[in-house]
Amino acid sequence: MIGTHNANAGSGVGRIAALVLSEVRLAWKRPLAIVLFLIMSLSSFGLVAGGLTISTGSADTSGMKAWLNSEFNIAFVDILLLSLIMPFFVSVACGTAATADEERKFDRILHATPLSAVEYVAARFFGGLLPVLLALAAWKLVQVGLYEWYPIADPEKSRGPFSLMAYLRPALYLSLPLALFMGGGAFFLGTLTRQAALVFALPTILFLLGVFFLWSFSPEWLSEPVNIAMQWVDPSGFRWMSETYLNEDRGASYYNATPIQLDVAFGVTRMAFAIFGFVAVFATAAIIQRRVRGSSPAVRLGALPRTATTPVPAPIGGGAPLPAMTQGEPGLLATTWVVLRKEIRWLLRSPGIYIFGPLILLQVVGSGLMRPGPLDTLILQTSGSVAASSFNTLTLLLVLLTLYYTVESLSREERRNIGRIVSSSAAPTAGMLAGKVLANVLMGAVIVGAAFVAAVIILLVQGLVTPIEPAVFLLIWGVILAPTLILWASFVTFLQAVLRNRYATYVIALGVLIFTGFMTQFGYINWASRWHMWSGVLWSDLDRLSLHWEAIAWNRAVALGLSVTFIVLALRIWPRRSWDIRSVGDRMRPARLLRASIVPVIAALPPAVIIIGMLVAMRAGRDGGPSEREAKDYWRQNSATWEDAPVPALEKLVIDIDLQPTTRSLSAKGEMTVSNRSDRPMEAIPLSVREHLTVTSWTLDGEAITPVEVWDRVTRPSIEDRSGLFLFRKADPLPPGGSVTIAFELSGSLPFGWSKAPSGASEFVLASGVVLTSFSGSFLPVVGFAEGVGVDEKNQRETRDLGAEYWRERVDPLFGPAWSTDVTMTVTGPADWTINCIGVPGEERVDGARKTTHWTSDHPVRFFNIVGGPLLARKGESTVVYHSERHQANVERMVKTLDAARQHYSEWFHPYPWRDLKLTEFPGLATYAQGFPGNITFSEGIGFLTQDADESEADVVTFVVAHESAHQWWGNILMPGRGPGGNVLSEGMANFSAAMLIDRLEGEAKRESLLRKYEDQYANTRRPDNERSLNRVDGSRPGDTTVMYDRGGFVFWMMKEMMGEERMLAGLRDFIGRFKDGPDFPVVEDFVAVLRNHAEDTERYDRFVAQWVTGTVAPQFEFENVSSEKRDNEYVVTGTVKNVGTGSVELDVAALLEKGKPDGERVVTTVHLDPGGSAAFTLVATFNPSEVAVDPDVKVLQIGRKRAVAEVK
Amino acid sequence: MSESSRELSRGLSIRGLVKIYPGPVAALRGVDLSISDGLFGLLGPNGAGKSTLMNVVASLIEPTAGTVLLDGQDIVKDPRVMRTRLGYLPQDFGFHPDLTGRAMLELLLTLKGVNGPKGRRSLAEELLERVNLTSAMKRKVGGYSGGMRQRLGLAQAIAGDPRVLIVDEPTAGLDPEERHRFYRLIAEMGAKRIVLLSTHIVEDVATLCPRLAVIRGGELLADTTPRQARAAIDGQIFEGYVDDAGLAALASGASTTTRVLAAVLVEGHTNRVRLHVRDGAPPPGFAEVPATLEDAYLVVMRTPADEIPARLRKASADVAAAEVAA
Repeated sequence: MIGTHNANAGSGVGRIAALVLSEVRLAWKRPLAIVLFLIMSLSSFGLVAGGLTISTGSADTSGMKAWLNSEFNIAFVDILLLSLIMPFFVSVACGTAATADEERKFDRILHATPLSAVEYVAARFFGGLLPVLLALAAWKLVQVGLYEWYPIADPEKSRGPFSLMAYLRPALYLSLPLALFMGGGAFFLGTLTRQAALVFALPTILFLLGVFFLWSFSPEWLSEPVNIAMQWVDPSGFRWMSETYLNEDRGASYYNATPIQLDVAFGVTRMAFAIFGFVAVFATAAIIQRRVRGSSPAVRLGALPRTATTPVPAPIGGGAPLPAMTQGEPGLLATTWVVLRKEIRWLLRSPGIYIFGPLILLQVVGSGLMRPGPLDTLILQTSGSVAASSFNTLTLLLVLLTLYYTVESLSREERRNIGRIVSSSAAPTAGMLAGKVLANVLMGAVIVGAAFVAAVIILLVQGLVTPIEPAVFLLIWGVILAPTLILWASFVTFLQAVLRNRYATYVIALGVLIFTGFMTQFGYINWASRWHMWSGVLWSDLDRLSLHWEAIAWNRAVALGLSVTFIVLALRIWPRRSWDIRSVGDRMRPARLLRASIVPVIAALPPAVIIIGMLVAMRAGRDGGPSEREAKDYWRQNSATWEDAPVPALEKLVIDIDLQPTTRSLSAKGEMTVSNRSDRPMEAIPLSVREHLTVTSWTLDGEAITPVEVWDRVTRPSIEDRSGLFLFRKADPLPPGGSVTIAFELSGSLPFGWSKAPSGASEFVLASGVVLTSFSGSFLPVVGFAEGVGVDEKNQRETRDLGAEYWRERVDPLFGPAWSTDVTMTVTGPADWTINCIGVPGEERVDGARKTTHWTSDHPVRFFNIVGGPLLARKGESTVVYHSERHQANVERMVKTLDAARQHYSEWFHPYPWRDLKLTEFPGLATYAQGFPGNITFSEGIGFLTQDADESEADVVTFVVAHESAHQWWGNILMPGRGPGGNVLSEGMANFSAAMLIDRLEGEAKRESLLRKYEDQYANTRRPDNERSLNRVDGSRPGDTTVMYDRGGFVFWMMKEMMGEERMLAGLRDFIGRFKDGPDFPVVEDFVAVLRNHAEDTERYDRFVAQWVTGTVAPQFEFENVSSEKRDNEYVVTGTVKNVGTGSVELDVAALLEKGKPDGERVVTTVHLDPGGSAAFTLVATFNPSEVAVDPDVKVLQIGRKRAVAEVK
Repeated sequence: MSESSRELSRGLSIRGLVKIYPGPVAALRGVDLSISDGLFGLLGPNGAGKSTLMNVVASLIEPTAGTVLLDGQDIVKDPRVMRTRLGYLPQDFGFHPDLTGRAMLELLLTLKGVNGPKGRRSLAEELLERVNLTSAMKRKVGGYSGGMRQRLGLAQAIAGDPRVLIVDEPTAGLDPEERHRFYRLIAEMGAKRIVLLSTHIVEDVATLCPRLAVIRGGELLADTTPRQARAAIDGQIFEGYVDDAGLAALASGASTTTRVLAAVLVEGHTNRVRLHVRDGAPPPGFAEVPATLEDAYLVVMRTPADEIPARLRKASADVAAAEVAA
């Protein structure tokens, strides 16, 4: 007897275990688990070596840092890596487990054994999942090793004590449910549809939904219930983690010491995801059961025709002769065509298309409709901005789709066992592959076409700002995107030719995508290697890609060139005839290899040459080594000597600038008079010239002098060139009060050469417009040492501690020179351009295609700028807005706000000293606005392309104009001092001014909305560990910006409420009056001191300042025991409100008729709360309240306002 | 090449064909064969190397060594020579299940570069009629029975009137009627071209092939005709009935001169045994019976390569030519 057979023998568990173990043993021979392990381990290594931790903790050396091995950090990293990488691998492993049996015809044998359908699916599911989990367990060990023992900087502060649970807990409640959910879902889909491509649907949806929506979409106006629902539906747990713990920074000490607490609802959703996975597996068992047993349609036997039982006559005699036919070599085109047609037919019948296609459309529509700009207001889309904002998503989706379907197409004949018939046919390989690849590229084109229709609908729904431009879509989604798809399809074909195994192709291709993602994320991808063009399309509606067009064009040429190379290689090795192992050796012989390489090398030559050319161009460009070295040399040679040296005053500047936008160049000829306003003689006058400018001649008091690089310490007068810092020495040192005239001629181009990677430009001379400022020295020499040039992470210094009392001495200006200047500028540019400078325009002369305009400052200025382009003017009562003809939507509101700002700020703060106030739009190659005296510049993304805000929300157009025009007062008329807190007087006051203006123009509700936005921004980006008070903040640490802008703006508003508007404004006028002309420039302490003089209750004022200005209080409120009782016709609401944050405050508590509507019907009471303190309240309402909320009129800056509500029971 | 030399080199010439798979496993160990027009049977047990030989000839597998010439042209160096003249029906194959029989055939006609005077669709219909699939040509291939699929396979194989037709285990899975229909068609095809029929069913070869080769363990053991093969063992085949013990005794007493060729169970308890007795008398109870091709094949299978009688190993060229011509 060979063996025994007993149908009841062996347990189900035993059978399952046997099958699972056999899969686990096989798994180590497949690349999937090993590649996953390698990718995860390398990623962990990269994160540890790069020191990535959650964004918290102190940046300075004395503060507490977030530990690398805290549970929070490990959970954060696990979510990041696992939710981006693991789902693809789990889905391949589980999704193809049952279908692989079918393909191998092994399922028939298994189903003939006592194995039940449930046992079978359990075995196959866990057989697929377990190797992945084992690979992840192995990675966890590597992670522990790296996080606990890898040498890092400052290990005592960056690493806490080892805790095994810190590694295990996140894996259990975050990773495992995700793995079960994805695995179960993919298993079900894969078995149901037998479509490998569909197996990727779930991870792709998770990836896109997460990256582009669930993880990041959190505008201030999003309601809390929706926010919580979004946390629940995110299988990765990322949103829950960030919304619950990370968005509002709780400080390094919290994150380091506290284990993550799961709330019940979230815990339930994690279990639900895991259970879903199991349910999907058992649902798969039903599918298997039906397939094994078959199904019988409900028809009567008698109704069926009896053809099967009809007798068949015996064949007699020979058959007819074969029909006439000819055979020849099928042509390339004929083969391509027939394969293309069939592949398109199969693609159209593939259910995956109907999942991925709508998903792509959804993403395009979603990113088009819901693209928030400043203050969470939606951007007003144009054809270019829709195409560009969807470019990355579309690329990623189409790349994934191309991968799935190209591999499926390429392996179709093998899977259907028709490979040998097809391979033995005379059809050319090139035709067969071309047909398949083309079908997939065409599918991409169709999806792009559908996306175009969706984009058109978006633009029409939104209301057309500019006409719909199909050519722009064609450029971005066609000319730029198509080569990526062609390259990727070619590469996948090449991989399939080499690997001859579709699962191996999937794994390696996904590995390449993940690797590319990491390289891109960490900035290692330049123009030459940016094959995917991810983030390569920086669209400006005015510039229209002209900034980087050369790099883009060559990059696309490389993509197409490499496509040809991969196609040539794929054709060479495509497995039409299986190679003999000995012939492989023969093929590797040098001579044969050389012969075989000739065609691929010829194919690879053009892209290689282009890549080399690009590398040379990037090296010679603005980010290249020589340019960086030059900047470093400037810093190295001059920072110690000249950074804090006394600077001469620029008394007068006369400059003649010629702009040549078509060649991105400019030339200038100027004369500057500088004087020594210090009390000591100046040995030398320093002028800095930026690296993109070349000075062709210098004169010193009329004498032409050639600069020398090494000064002999004797020759005078002389000019010494210290790597871009020119030292002018007169025959004798410049005495106090003495002056000198320096003339120069220079030329240059801006931007200078190629960048290494896609990057914007804040100043430029381009065919689309020009932006130049004296601030950066982009068109003239700068007096003194230029800060920031040649500074990077390696030589960045901690800011100097000036001590608490430094403000009592004379303080230098925060930006630029201490003294104002009279400026005369003559600018020549294209005749059809409007070019604006500071001051008032004088004579204008047109000479053919060139126009020259003279500008003279009507009041001294510290900064000056040039901005221009083909612009229209819209005049207000006392202001003008210059804008592109394409962007008229918001201009009327901008003019109105600018007029109002000029009027009200002049009344409130100080009379406006300049005649004109202009606001000029420039191409959005960088998104910012700057307020030069009388000449404000706005990039197109600021205000010009913004949708109308919701009725109840602050209007961003009004806000940005109000903020930027406030800088005419806070930054120009009053220049803050150069010290901690200085910039608060510029940015914080501008935000305060904007709140004032919006309150005046648009009412309380909009102002409250604006303050809530400040508060939300502050709560989400502050760093409580190292938060500094308004008088100490200097912009050098993470979290400083929001303190300066948002906390500053809100606190100044609170100060106004505390002091009363009249007293506050009087104080501000007094303050500006005292400090506007220097030479001592004010910081926050000066401000507080001056305003104190205007306070009615100085004690209250001092308490306020101690808490909010020189302190860092941040109250946070919670309700407890809120209940309501109906008495007669009234409702009596009682409860307790607690301050779980810091600060003593008077707080309004309101009972609201409608939830979330503090401006609706309500009753309010006020309580006093100290830190940690609580106060009972009673509210009597004539209506039935639904909710209690704190601070309905947005009077107190706080953390967690949205959560400080309670339902009234 | 001159007309006369072309005439001389017509047919398929296989010389010193070796194929070693990674392992290493030798699938072919220096096979030499010359095959001219007509049906040529390739016999051998499973794993003998038949399919490897077929696949090499069909230009799907690159040999480790050796040459394969078709009408004087080397198909190892240039597989396209074979691909434009080949009809191939593999042992195990499939089709795109969602295409109709006609669409599937049309697709393959295009890939093979085959066309008819009235176009491909018409040609596909004629070919389907030829294999008796007209009624099913609009049905999806996924719903075809094994026999229908096999016939569709044959239709694509004969498309283009190929110079070489390779059919690998073609009758597996066919019912008797289909099988006979298939025989007839194959026999007709063999009149004008090289038809290489690989099988381990001796009856197929006996029915169809005027020439055959026997291959075992990658070695060519016999290259002969059915008649000469039978003649080579004529008078050496005996049949008798024994019980299990008797069969065991016969098997254990086998020698170089007496071998058990086959034992067929009769009525569950008696064995009908065929013996090959090269010299001397048969055991008691055994009577001489006419030799069949299967006996010849089994003699080759049961005999070490170096002991196979020369007459069985190689047919007389003259006689073989005469037989083939007849």
